[in-house]
Order: sequence, then structure tokens, then C-alpha cells
Amino acid sequence: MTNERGGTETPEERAARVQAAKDRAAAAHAARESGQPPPAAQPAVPAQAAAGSPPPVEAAPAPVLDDRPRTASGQVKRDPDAPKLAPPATPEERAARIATAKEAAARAKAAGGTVTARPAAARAEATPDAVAEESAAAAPSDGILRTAKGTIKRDPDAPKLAPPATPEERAARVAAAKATAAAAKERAKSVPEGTASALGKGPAVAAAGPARATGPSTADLAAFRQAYEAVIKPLKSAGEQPLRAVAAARAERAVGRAEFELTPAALATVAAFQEVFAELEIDLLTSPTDPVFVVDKRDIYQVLRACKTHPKLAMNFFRGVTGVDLLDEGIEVVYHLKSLTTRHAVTVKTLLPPDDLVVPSVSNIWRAANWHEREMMEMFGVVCAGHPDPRNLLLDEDLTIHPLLKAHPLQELELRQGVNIF
Amino acid sequence: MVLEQGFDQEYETVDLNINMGPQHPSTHGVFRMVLAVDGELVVDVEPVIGYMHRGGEKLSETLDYRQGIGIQDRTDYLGQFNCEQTYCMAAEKLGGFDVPERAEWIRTICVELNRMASHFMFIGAYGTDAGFIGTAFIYGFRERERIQDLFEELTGERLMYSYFRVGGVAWELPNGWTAKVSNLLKELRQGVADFKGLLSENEVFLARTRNVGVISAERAIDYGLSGPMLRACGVPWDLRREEPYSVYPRLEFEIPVGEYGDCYDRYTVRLREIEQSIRIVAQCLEMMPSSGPIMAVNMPRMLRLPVGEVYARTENPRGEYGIYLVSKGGNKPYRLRMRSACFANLSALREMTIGEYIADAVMILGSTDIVLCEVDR
Repeated sequence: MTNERGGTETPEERAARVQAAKDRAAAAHAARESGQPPPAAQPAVPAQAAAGSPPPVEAAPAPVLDDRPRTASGQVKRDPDAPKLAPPATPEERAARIATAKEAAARAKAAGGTVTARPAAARAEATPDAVAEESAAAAPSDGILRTAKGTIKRDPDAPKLAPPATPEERAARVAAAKATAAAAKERAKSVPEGTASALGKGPAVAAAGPARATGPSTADLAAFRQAYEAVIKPLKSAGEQPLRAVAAARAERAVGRAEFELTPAALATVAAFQEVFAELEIDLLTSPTDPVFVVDKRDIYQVLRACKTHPKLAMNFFRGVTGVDLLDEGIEVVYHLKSLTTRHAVTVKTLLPPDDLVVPSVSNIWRAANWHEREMMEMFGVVCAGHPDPRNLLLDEDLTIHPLLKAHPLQELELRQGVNIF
Repeated sequence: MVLEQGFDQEYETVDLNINMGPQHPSTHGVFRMVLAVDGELVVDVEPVIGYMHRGGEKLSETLDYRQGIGIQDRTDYLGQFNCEQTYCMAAEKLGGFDVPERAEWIRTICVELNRMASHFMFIGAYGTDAGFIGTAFIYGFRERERIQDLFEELTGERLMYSYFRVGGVAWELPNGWTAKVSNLLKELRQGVADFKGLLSENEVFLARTRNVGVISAERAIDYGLSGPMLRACGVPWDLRREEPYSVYPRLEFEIPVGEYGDCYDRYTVRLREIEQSIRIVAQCLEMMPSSGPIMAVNMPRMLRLPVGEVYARTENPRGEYGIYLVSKGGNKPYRLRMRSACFANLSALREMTIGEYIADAVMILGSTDIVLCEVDR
């Protein structure tokens, strides 16, 4: 098949281009992991240089302007602690800022630098703003709990109001709430001069959203953590007990595992499996579809690798891995495997005791396991040892909750988590 | 500023990180790609998912076996009947219920019509990705609407059908429904022919899809791809044939496969699958008994499945959809895991996209036919 794109690129050229890009990506990944800077960027299509313009002068090393942290490509990294500029309020202010930045760029150019010096110069001009923002962020020190956005947090211990019985009662409540809000506004107006006016906004506006520009202050975060420790944590641990009791009662009522008749294909799989792993102790359970093999935790990696590599099994299709929370017994890790060549389909599982929730990662056996294991790790708190990328996949990257554990209540906790969680 | 120095010099390009999504028309849902680009060339891509994660597995643990069917509708909102079928199959296998024959035929008609609706939707949306904004989309939606009208007549719902039950289907077909399906098949054949004329030999479409996003068969299997994504690589793997369920062993149909594993093959495989589904539905209408029970006899009103586990799987429009169901004897699943086809298909996106151009990244993502609700569950 010829490539239709533009009619200039032959399949060989295309393959070379793709391979070069993949090599670069692999090198960049390796460099990121080892902490070394990645190799310099290569021209995308080296053949162009030979065809057109004269060979380029050997590139001089990029001038090092200062010791500011830089990205791999030489751009100045933004200082994560530096305050963000507030957006310009008026068109005039915007024009003034642009003019300042241009002047700074011209100065930097004259001094032998490059235009990348612009952000630093602009930041230097912006320091008065930053000071003002910092003081504004610390302004609401009235002892009331606030959210990250600066709105007042509802006291979790406060009793809930019953819904108003009569329209008059409702009107009275609304009026009372309005009066409280007005009083709060008055208090905000009495914030010392200079904190808000430097922002170029009126005091009332600044009071309405003081922390928005800079994010939560450390005081805010401390308050939240305190609230979390006081309210949500005990609730979480209290929620565990009845759930465990209910689960135990259910387990008692269960009459025991049902036996199922295996199909001829499944029996053939069992025979192959037992032949390959004759020297290992593997329990066989039945299910309506696949045979289920229970493997000791110490043997699980060896067994799974043999499932893929042994010619009699050749389970090249990784259907998925997941966990089952068995409460006090621990967490069961369940692998579903299939072979597209020998047609075997099995379920392999192992039990992790609650004090050692570590299982070897199999993402180097099947590439498909990578995402499935990431999902299992975040959902159950199981650690897949040796996983190349153990970040959260579906959940928010900062969350350390494990929602599919039975101890994780479905509603009570999550409703409160909507406010803030660490 | 740099331009003042003229054009006769070589400049070093720097890698840029581009966020595509989560609100972007080409991402087919709430999905984000972080593309590292060198000029127009994609050197790295990181898919960011989880925006649609609603905890369907956790929710299913709190719902009994009848209520859980509703979650399945909301998992893959383009293959609702297929997901319902998998869920019901898991419970039926564990409980040992025999589904009456007529119910199986009705289910097969529903899931095959649903597969066609999903593929028409894909082709319409994919045409939009390729630049046929409006035209291809309306062509695809016209056929999908015809199918949905019948589903609406059958279930009373346009999207969340909840028609299958553990042990059968909820109610009988309305009067004259099978005749309408029979008429519909003729129109769908015409719809396939329309798409062949509109896209299959279109110069622009060929340029945008052929040789783009190639993945080899070995790599595809290693990444756990399934469904049309795997068949486009030349692997004739279809659970309806390999692990036959329902009435598929009694039906005649072919498994379309591709040759090169590129975007164009993924498109043609789906288009040819529509033709096969039309064949299957026509056979079902012919072979289905005209009357008979539609629910297993002596089904308890409140199901309590025996202690055990089962991994049921079906061939959904997007690939292998599996339900791993663990029962401890209660009236709710102790644990319910959904093996999403899109989830595995999407994990190969990095492999397929590196080395391509930014514009082709859109085509490659489109060709995976993702439903983000199924990816995130």
C-alpha cells in the first residue's frame, strides 16, 4: 500500500520517521526516570537539510543566561511558588502591561539575552501586585472556617435546620440570613486599607473573592485538615464497623460455594494447566464458564509468566485483573486470561493477607496489564510491585482513598468529600 | 521577533505539550490527551481518563440483580442491549437458569440491531473527524434514528432500555414489530451502500485514514485489543464464533477482517459488520418461533444467586465486554467488575499515535470508537 499523503513520502521514509519518533519518546522516558536531561531535539526530517539550503553552521551551545531552572528545551521554568498575575481589569491596564513587557524584552535583547527573558522581567514589574495578593489572602482571619475558594464553610457539627413549616417562618429565616450576610459584608469593608485597593478593585469585591487569585492559603489548609481530622475521619472508622458486621452475617448465611460442571473445553484446560504446573500446589475451583485456579501468593508471578510463555498454554490475551475485598481475609487478586491460539481460558487468583497487600506487577508480561493494574491499585490500595507508572488512573491524582474497599461507605463519606479532601 | 532575522537559518524546534480536551469536539466525550509535539509530529501522548468515572462497580454492589441492569444501560450508552445481555448472562449462568428459546431470539435481534446503530454512529462521527462535517454525521444518524424508533416502540425508552431480565426479556414484542424490523433491513442495506459511496472510495477519506495509526497483530493482542480493533489487524477473533453463546451457533455469518491494521481497515471492518448483522437479523426473523414463553419458569421474584463466581463475556460493538460477578449468596452482587472493551482499546492509543501528525491523532482516536462512559464506568 502506498502512502497517499502528499505523494512525497514513501512507506520506508514513513517507517523511519515513526521509528525515530518512537526512539525519541523512549529516550525521553528513560531520561525522565533516571533524572537526566533528555537528548537534544533532532530535526524532524533530517533529509530536508541535504536537499535544500546549505548545511547549517554547527549549532553553538545555547547561551546559559542564569541559573534559573530550565526545561529540557531550554525554556525557563515557571517558578511554582511565584504568585500568578491577576488578569488585567481594564483595557488600559492590559495595554500598559504589554508595553512594560515589550520594554523588558527589548532591554533583555540589547543585553544579549533572548526573548525568553520576558516572563522574569514581567514578573519583576509585578511584585507590588504579588505583595498585595499575599496580604489579601491572609485577610480573612475572623476565625470562621473557609473553603479553598474563600466562601464560609458550613459547620459540620451544627444541627440541621428543619424545613420551614409556614411561609411566614420561611420569610423570617430569609430576612435573618440576609442580615447576617450584610453584617459580614460590613466586616469585610473594615479590612485594612492597602490590602485590596492595590488589586485595583473595590474592597467589597476583594472581600467577596479574596483567595481566588492565589488559591488556598496555608491557614485555610490547616483549618481544613483540622476539620477533616475532627469530623470525617471518625465517621469513616465508625462506618467500618456495621458494614463489617453486615458482611459477616451475610457470609454466615451463605451455605458454601456451589459446584459447577465444567465444559469439555474447560476440562481440557484443567488438564493442560495441571500438566504444566505439576510441581506446584494449585487449588481448582469451578465456575460456570472458566476453571478457577487458586495460586499461592509466592508463586503468582511464576505461574502467570508461564501462562504466557509455555507453549501448551500460550495465554497471550490479558482480559483483566481486579480485586475482591474479602474483609478480614484480605484482598483477592483475580486475573482473567485467554489464549487466542490454544483457546484456553482461565481465571487465576491469589489471596493477599490484609497486612501485605503487595503483588508483583505483570505489566512486563502483557502490556494490557498496565492500565488494569493501575485501576486495581487505586481502587483497592493493592501495590503492584514493579509497576512502571503507579499513578491514579480513574480517580483524581491526589486522592488516596480506595473506593472499592467494603470499608469505604458509599454515601456518607463521599457527600462530605465533595467539600475538600486531602 | 525571531522572524526579523529572516528565513535562511535553521532553527531548533522545541517540544510543546498540547492539551487536547477534555472539552474538544474530536475527543468523543470527556477525554483529554496530552500531546508532546515536535512541530506537527507527535512524539508522545498521554491519555487522561476518569472524567466520567461514576463508580458503577461500587453502585452495583448496592443494587439487586434486577436494579443492576440499569447500570449496564449507562455503561455503554451506544451498546445498551449488549451490556444488558452480558449482565443477564452472568446471573443466569451462576443461577443455572435456562432462558427460553424465544427470549434468546428476541435478545439476538435486539443486540444485533444495537450493534448496527452503534456502528452507524461511529461511521457518522468518524466522517466528521475526517472533515465531512454534517454530511456523514446526518447519514449515520438517519439510520440510527430508524433503529432507535423501533427500540422506542419496544421498550418505551430512547436510550436506557432496561428491557432484558435475568431469565429472559421483560415483555412480548408489540404487534407488527417484526414486520417493521424486516422492512428496516432493506433501508439499512441502502444506508450501507450510501456510506460506501460517500466515504469508502473518497479521495480525502482515503488520504486521511490509509496507513495511519497502524498497529501490528501481535502488539494488538498484547495490548488486549478486541472487537473491530483487533479484527482490523487481520485476527479473525469474534466471541460470537470463538466462545459461542445464545443462538449464535445456529446462525450463519462471516467475520470481516482487515489486512493492515490501519484506520481505514477499522472503518471497513465495522461497515462490513453491519452487513453481517443485517444477515443475522434476517435469519433470526426467519427462525424465531412465533410464540412461546419469554421468561424462565419458576424464577424467584427476588433473586439470590448461589455462592460462586463467573466471568461472562459477549462480543459488543466495541469488543469483548465482560462481567465478573462474585456472589456470596445474597440478593446483590458481592463484587461486580466490568471488563470494558474501550478501556483496553484506548490503552494502545500511545502506541498507535507516536510518530503521527497532530491531525492524524484525531483520526486515530476516532477509529478506536471509544465511549468514555464505558472506559471510566
